[in-house]
Amino acid sequence: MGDPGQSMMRLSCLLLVFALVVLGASRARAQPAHELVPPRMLGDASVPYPGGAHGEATVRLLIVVKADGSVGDVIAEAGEEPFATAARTAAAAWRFEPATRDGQPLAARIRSEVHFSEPPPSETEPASAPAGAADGGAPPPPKIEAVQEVTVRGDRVAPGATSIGRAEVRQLPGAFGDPFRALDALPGVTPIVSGLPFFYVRGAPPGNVGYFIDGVKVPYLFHAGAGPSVIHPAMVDTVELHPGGYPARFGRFAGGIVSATSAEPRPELHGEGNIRLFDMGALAETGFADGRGTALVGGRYSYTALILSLIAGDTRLDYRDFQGRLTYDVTPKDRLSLFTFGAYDLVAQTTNGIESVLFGSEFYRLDLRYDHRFGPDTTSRVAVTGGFDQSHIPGQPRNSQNKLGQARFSIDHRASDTVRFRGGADAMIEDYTADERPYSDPDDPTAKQFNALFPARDDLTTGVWSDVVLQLGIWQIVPGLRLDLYNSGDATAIGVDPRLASRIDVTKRVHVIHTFGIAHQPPSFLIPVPGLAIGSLRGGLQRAIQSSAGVETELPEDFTATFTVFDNIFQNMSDTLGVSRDPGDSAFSDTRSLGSAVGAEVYLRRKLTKRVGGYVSYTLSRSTRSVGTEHFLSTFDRTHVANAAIAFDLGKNWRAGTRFTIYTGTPLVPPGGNGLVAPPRSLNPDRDPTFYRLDLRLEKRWYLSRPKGSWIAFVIEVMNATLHKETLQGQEIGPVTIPSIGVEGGL
Amino acid sequence: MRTRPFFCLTAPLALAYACVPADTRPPPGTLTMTVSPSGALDGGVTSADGWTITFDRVLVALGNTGFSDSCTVYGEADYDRIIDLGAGNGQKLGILHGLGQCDLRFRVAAPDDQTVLGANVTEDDRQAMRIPLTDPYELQTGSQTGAGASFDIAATATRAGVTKHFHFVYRRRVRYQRCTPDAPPADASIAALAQAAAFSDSGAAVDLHENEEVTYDLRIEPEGLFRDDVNPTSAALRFDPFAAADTNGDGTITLDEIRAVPITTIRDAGAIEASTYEVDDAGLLRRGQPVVIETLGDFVYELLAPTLVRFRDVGWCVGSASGRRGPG
Repeated sequence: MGDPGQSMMRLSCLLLVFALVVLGASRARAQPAHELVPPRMLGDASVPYPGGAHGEATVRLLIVVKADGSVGDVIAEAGEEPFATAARTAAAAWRFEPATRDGQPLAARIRSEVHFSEPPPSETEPASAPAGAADGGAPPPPKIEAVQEVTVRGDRVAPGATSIGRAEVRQLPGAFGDPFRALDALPGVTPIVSGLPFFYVRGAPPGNVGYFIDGVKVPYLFHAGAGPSVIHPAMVDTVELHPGGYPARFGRFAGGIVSATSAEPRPELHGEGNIRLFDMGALAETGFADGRGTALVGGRYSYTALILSLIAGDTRLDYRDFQGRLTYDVTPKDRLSLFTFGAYDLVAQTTNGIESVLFGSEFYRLDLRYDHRFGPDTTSRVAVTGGFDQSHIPGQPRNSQNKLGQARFSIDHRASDTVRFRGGADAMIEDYTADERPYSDPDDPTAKQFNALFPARDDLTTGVWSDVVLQLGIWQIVPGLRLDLYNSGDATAIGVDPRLASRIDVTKRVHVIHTFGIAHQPPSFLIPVPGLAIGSLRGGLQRAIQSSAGVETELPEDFTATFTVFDNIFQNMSDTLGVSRDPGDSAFSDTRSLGSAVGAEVYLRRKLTKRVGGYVSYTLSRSTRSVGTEHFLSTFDRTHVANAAIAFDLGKNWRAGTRFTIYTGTPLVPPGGNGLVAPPRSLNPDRDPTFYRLDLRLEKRWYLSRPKGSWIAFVIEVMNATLHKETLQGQEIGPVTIPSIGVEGGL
Repeated sequence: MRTRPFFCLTAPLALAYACVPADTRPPPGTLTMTVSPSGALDGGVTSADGWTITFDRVLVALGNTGFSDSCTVYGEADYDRIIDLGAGNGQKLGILHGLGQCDLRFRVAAPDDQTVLGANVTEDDRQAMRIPLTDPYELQTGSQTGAGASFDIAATATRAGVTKHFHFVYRRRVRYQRCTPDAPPADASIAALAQAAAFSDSGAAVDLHENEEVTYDLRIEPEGLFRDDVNPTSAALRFDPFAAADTNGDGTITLDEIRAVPITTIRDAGAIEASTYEVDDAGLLRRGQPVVIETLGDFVYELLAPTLVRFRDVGWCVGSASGRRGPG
């Protein structure tokens, strides 16, 4: 049925899906190609004849059909306006049964031709109806016509990385629908304290883990007080954890990389919102200029202050975040995007009628990017980013700030089906300042340490990177190199980071994955704090040598299993948390150490969006440090970390899930002696007791329109429903529990 | 004091922005804590039994001065300093900023590598005080590595041509709070006063107003080691029991020697059980394990040593020593 008032035209939509799987000449000789099923359109493909246009036209579209069957990028490769825009806009709303390889859905790129024929002025039939539909006859199926061979390629997650999509995370108990909160359930991730959004990744401390959103570095992912992530979950498409040996495009962090990709712009009006016990959030996006542009706004607002005032009237906890995005397709091959986001947190306490800020932080980013497609195989991006970070440092107390500007460029070129080049460069300048400590004792060593560690200065960092994806039959190998030049105050250092990743498809279901990489990083603080970074490259660059080897297996019933062993070496490492006997007393020192982390990870998973889905992740590891002649276990070494989750579709739009988390305790650190010789730390010390918790989730959804369109859901979720307490260095903490009751909705 | 960035004022989504606020609190009062020696450092003191006691050198490591939660805290002096009492009166200990009625807290504790050196104190002094050694009384952990020195008192006593030396090193960490500027009444039981102070509502050792500057002094009385009573108001100084402890006659009195002297040489009533106080994780005082005082050494180490610090000349504070009595 066509939209009233709109002049519709019967048209024929030629949809070609001719998938040709190219696995490389040697493999083609060695064994038959994997079974591939191309995408299949669902429903009819109606494209309105653009108003004010005349004549006939043909538009050729290059369409990315995502693994979930929705349409991603749509490029009009040929065709005049306004037909090109009309075709692109309509195609963005098409739905497909996705392409599959051996039964596994994957993204595919297809070409489609849309032929427009000008309707006679008297007809007003729906575009999807063929001639004669006015008499009630069923429309004929679209004609399939070969246009050109198309290579189907799935862009896999980088070898060694773990990806989790938002749809899955919604069903993960304890994640509160937040993709970033699912990170602590992944193998290789060791929590510091349950509920705290900082963790060790394969032995690397929180300050060595980098967080990126669409390539833009952000200082932290979560709000204070065990709050939600700083980006509305609806804006996040996938989150990838690279625990080591990451692609060359990531650098300047010697631990792990958390990289989030925002959802593709969609021109049709859509959005979602939620109201929970502590906060509310919303996100909405729509198109303009006939679908060439999209505009998105989103954000979250907490009313924890109001709730806390009923419980602890002298304490205030506040957090907010916002996101905004504008995209505009200048031409079918050129897109301009403006992406802005920010977050704010505040903890304050009132005594005798005077409110004192205990902790405050904020960061803002403005990212302007230009994407250009040279052709079907080459894309480029040029972007400039501006940002501001500020934190109120507890214990000092003062504000520290950082203003930053970055320009970056990247290019991606598929030279053939076996060779793909990627490269880029960037330059970033950061201006660090700190207010004078207003009420301090000038003899206070801590204040002097702070000033020495965090001087006011300008940091300039430049880098270039490149890698090549080589598909040699069953073997995909990705060598890469990254060079970074660091300048902070009067100090300069160069980091040379070679990277190598390999994936061998031993059989169609068994893959062997290796990663290796060297990563450099400037000295880092305990945890990421906006506006605070150790200056002047004190102590020099940190270096991590990361390697892993693993096997990934696709099992029956849509299960995937991965077994990985890893071995990381950290040289000149900043890890105050991991080496200090009392991190609180030595927060403003930077003790360097030699570190090592070895272990094995097991990950068995079935998508949580299945009727019955779940996963089991287990990490066995040992993380050690050496300072001088002393060799000991890292303060946050946990031998065993395990998570198990299961989600059920109970029918009638009820979904339930539970997650069980268990990990062994950290080593008990003997307190620092009062004299010169502190008691030695052992490689086999006593430990805190094991901690476990159970998270629960229950959802009931109602669809307000069919097929599954607008919806509203009631969700109850509890992290640590068992109210189990945790022990850290002999001190019992908690129970830290986060209950959430709320209503969510989307359209 | 804090900059309000340009972004805060021009952000396109102003409703969602909320910048970390500037400091709008009223200006605080300033409290300067100082340390002074008692008059005994200047020419010595004469005991009731005729000994002239002089002090060769007295070092004390103390600091970590702060306020209780009952007032608005703007800034504290969370660091320690080694004070040489021979360097004079009014030596700076720390500067604090706050508003309202506050209880004060501070501590004596063995120094670390961040401890600030006071006048006439050298790095060698700090390193010497950091050396962990054991004695029968200091804090013992499972590692048995000992502790550094909180007090290091070297005294010499002479009478009728006889000279005795007494070098006392105290290795416990003592936290002080609930300070009062009033001297304890002569007939009062310190134990009863301490109990009353420990479990009352938080005292107001200082009342700070906007822009007010106040200086409070801690007076260290090393001669307090020779008191015959814990109440300094009513106690007399007696050195005879110490002299008598020098059983090997080498002129140097050791801690082990005074531990061999029965308490009856000081107190006719004999052995007593003394209350102790501990500070829990919330910073509150609570009753600790009582200690049995049987010898002169017990009396000096467990009861007298923590009372050497006086608040504002004649006042006193409730002290809670960490650790327990060790074997021996």
